[in-house]
Amino acid sequence: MASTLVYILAYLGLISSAAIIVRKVCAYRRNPLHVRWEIYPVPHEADRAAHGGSYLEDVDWWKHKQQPNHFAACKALLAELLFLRLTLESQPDLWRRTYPFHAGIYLLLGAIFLTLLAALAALGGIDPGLVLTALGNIVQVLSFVGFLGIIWGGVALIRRRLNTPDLRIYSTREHFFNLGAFVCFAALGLLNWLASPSFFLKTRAFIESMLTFAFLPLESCLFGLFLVSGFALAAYVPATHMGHFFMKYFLYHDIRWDDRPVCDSPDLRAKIAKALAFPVSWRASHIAGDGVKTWAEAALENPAQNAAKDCNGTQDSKGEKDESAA
Amino acid sequence: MKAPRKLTDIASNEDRICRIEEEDLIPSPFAMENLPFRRLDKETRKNFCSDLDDLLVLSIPRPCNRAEEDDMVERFLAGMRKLLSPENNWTFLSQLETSLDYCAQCNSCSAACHLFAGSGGNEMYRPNFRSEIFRRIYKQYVAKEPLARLRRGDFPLNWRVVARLGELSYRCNLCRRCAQACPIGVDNGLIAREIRKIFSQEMGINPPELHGKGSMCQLEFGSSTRMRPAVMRENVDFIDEDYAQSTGFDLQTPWDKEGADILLIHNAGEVLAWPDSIAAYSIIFQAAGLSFTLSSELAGYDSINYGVFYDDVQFARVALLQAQAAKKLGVKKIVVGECGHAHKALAVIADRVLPPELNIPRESCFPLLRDIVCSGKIRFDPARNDFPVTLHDPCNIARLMGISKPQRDILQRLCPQFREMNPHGAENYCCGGGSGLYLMTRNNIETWRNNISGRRKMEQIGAAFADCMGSETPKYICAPCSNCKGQIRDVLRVSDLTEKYNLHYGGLAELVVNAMLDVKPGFIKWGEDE
Repeated sequence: MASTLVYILAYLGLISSAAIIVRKVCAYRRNPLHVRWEIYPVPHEADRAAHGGSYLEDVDWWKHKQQPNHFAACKALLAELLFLRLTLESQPDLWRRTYPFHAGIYLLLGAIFLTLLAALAALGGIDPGLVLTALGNIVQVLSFVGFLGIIWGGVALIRRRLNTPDLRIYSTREHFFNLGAFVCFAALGLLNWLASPSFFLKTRAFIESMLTFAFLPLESCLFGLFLVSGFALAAYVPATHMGHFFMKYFLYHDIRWDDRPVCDSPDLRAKIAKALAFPVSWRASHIAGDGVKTWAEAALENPAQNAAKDCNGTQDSKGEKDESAA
Repeated sequence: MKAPRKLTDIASNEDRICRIEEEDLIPSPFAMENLPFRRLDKETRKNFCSDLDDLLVLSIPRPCNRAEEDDMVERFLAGMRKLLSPENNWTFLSQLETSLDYCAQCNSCSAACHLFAGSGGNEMYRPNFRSEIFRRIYKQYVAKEPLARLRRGDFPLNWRVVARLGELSYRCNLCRRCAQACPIGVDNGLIAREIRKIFSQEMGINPPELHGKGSMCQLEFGSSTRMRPAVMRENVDFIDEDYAQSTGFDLQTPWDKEGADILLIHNAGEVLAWPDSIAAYSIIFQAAGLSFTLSSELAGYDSINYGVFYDDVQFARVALLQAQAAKKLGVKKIVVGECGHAHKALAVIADRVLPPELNIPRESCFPLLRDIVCSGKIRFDPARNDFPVTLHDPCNIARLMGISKPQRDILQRLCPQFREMNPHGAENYCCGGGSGLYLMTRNNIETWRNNISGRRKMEQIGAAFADCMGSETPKYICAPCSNCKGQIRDVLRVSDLTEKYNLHYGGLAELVVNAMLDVKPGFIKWGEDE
């Protein structure tokens, strides 16, 4: 019964995780077009990226077809994801703590992927030959180092938040809870790893059972506890600020590196037209949005000429005293 | 130093939560004077919300009773809701949402901030201080996230928080170096700007230099300088006459030439403060045989767009007028003169605001200048520029547009003693006057620019000229941006650095003309302009 409950929670955890990620990504993608707000260096500028340059360094840049180097952009994003390059450069002290934590998660994800492959192979009737044995050994190592990394990094990050006064101010209960949850999960994983002859075989059996809905009994309560904590984390993490692990793609590609000019994009033109038709309801008197007036209409107004306002102060009655202060 | 010890200090009843003392400041390589922060006068303190520090940028009227206090909070929250709505803030919704949701509170941004360093590490100047307060208010009072109080603690919200947050949004130069350093991509500079937008767009409160005397004047007169087209034209004609005489170059700046290839838009303030730059561009373009013109249409002769600092609607209005001026003349492109924020505003941000019929190609003056210098159309003698020169990269041009090489190509060709600041290019430090603050001198703001915001830049300049600090060597800080020039001018002036160290500043075009063989030697007039 308890085993079945773990399986149900595992399915729920995975479904919730996927649903939250999809919901957040869709919500982001539903947002209207934003104005350009890029920051250089932009890696898809390829050769120019080395000095932080852009196509705007060319005379008549619109006459040249822009050919962003997507490989360079992917390489830069991967370097950031895998090695936390910016943290290493700006805060090496933090990097020494956060890198083991992040690397531990990556190693565990790698171990899960390999175990899944092994489970699929077993289900496909492939005999556990040398390759699968090697795979098992790799998973054993990855998961062990991964658990250690998360525990080491997680504890170090908690200690840093507690002991660094300027970081303590910004640390909330949620931060400690999140890090603590990871440490607990990894500690349970490590205990399971140590308690059984092959962590790989145990997890592979569980994944096989999940894939086939066999709901085979779990080996121990400790293993069940580890699984529940893992799937709960999977469901919880995307809902928190740690969702940056998937949103980073948009933060980088869609905001920080988005230098697409409108001139060669009918798609962008259509989106701008749509945005300019949005109603405005900003209340300040120089806008006087009423929820009906559109952005295009507001932009075409000239409040200074229309009302020949005084040039010396702010416009609302609340701001009448401005001039004397200025 | 007096500094907040926790985020909720922003709600305290103290008369100030931050005070920077002389010993907190970055030591300067120059004999710089630290101006004293004078206490704001009693009347000002009585009438306006001046409870943050010793400065007053916004002049928010102090509420007189409970109803006014509540009204201030309600209007702020209404503005915050609008910031998070696609209709009212389509321009920046994606950037804002992600910056509110995904910050890991690692404080990587602090190490990148020249203000945090310049204030001696005062907590209030940490880029994340204002952002995190904004986030907590948003999550608790607007988004009403489940268990917000339990997760992050109960964050108090009263009129002091609102007023201080508004004022605090003007303790940032919007240089976005913090965003560049963020491993996640969170933009604390953007959050400062979004707070400014709530105050301007919803509450009608903004600095008079940016709004009443800035964008509103541009919309009414055509320029924030209040120069109407006829006056502007008269002044430029006078510059032509004056510089034709001093340079021996037959100079005639064309106006309203229909069908010209280029509409050149200067920051009109240069006409009054730095006419050398206006003359230099006319000389270079004329010598290179370019077909160009200036416009006397409303806002068509002033590239500034202060909306970029505080208000999206004002931004769009000015950008539209500038594009309309180009459209009317039928030019092939607009070239933006040496003004950083105007570059970013017109060439980049306006790209997704202008309707297709007004989306006339726009580019920076620097690539064009580089191509002219390298084309061989004009003869140069670099020996005329044989003095130490360093380059300040305006944030809006280098970090936010990716234009840094053309300027260097020119300097390396024409200035034998060119040396870099460190760091430079996209990683540069702000001059300290960014986001319109250089326009402000009242209420200790100039003191703040001299003591705090401009210190990192002066430290860099000192290091660049370390081998020639003596007053016997004239030194040139090339700052190709009106805003940056204004800030550097003020800092040099406060401590007499021009006199003490023979330290001068100016734009890039001046160095180009100074090396031109078709112009009499001595275009740069050492000591006369500062």
